[in-house]
Amino acid sequence: MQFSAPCRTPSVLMDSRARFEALYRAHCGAVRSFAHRRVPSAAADDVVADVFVLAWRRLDQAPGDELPWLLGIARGVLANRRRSDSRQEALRDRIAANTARGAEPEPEDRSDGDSALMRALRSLSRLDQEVLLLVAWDGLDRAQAASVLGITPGLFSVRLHRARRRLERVLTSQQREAEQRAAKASATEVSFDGR
Amino acid sequence: MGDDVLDRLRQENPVPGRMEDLPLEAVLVRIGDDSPRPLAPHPRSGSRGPRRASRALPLVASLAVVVAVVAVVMTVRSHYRSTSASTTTRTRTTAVPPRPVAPPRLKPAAVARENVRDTPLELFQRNPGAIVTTAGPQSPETVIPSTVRELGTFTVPGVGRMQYWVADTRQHGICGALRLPDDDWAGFDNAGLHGGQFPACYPTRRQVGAGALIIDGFDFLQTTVPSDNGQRWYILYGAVSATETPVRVLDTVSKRNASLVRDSYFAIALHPVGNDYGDDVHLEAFDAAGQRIANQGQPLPGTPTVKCVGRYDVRHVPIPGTHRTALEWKCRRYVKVLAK
Repeated sequence: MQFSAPCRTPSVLMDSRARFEALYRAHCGAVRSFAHRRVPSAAADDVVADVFVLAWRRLDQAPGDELPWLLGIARGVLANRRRSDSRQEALRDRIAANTARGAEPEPEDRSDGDSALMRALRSLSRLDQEVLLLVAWDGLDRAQAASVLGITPGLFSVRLHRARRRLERVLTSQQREAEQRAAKASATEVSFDGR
Repeated sequence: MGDDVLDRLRQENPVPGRMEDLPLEAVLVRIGDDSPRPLAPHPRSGSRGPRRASRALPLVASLAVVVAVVAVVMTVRSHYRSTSASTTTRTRTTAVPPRPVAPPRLKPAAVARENVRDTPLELFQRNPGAIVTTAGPQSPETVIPSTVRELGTFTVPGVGRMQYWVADTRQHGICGALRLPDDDWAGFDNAGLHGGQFPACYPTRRQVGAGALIIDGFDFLQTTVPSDNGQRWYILYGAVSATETPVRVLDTVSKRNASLVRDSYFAIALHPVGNDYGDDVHLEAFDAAGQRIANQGQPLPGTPTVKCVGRYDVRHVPIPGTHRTALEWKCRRYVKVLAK
């Protein structure tokens, strides 16, 4: 297809091209934000390009509400990207993770700059994280978010409710642990003072 | 507190608002001279219409065959009646399969899609998903043609019956491919919903092994197929290389058993509810006595593995798009040991 020579482009492709460009202009920013929220910047723009290449190929399948459809493709691209990493690399990571796990210090020694909320979020399953983030970060309504995940809005509402409950539970337990640690520390101080 | 949690999450958004567009040229370069694919009726397209049409198609075809056979029989009978009224004939009709349609020649850029209609042997010889490891043999695996066989079939709800094809390689690796109900090979239609790894002949961990990899007994490929309702099945298919023969393979996360376990090969379909990205999977294999013979991520007894004996380097790695950092742990020195 010759984008630089529109006079030679068949009319069907011209229509497709105009439709694709409109789709791109309307949603590129949103898809780019979606990708940058989930993968490092260097990879995110590649993901965006992949999404729109797939969208071009599947232009005939684009529904009326295009954004959830594009974000659904983006989720697939992200998942495929993750899976298509070489087995070697994946196994090396696993070895490192397995062997490092035993030697990690206690959680309170870690100061990675993440907020308690983000740590709690990361402790949830990927599906729970995605359900929450589609609403909180990507600003989708429930019908759109359900469409991204390929489920019904009713089921999405159930999953969102459960994911929120689980996040709250993790946050509560984190808070309780912090209080217990603080109480233990103050009790130790008292015993030192009393001696 | 529920809305409060969502509000707090909104405040943690690493990319609030909408980013600027990428230059359109960045995408057009990748598209090249590719054209949009016309929407073909597909059993898993997600819309009701085409699926119903595709279901009706075999019925119409069978009716047409029946009508044709009856017409032929009537013609033959009338012919015999007219030529020899006293002769009795026994006509035997045999179903003639339609001639296979040669796949269209595709451009080099679309070479991966060409594999969709390969025969099992052609597919394994092409080896589209060839895995080249840095730690193990560099030469690609070469299929032994006489070992190409259909291991069996299994049904994935909402998708249909899948054929599992396997073969051995000259380098002692394995080949695996799943054939979808529409005769396409799984893994090629990489359109968001349907993807994963290409079918491949690949080295086992025992081949690569030697302390570089954990030989946990599981060697498998992954593919994703959409079901009728638009959701995805995540299918792992491969082999268990424990000394005992497995009769059951279980994913302990979803509590699902493999749909097919035969001759040390397995195929397990996991529902996306519990395995959205396929990362939350943990396989275990059991022998006929119910003993666990392989545990994913744990080395098989007697196999080489590695142990960290040095200090760990810990560093802060910036999380892109945020002002935060995450900790990264790396062992300074590993030694090879034999797993107990």
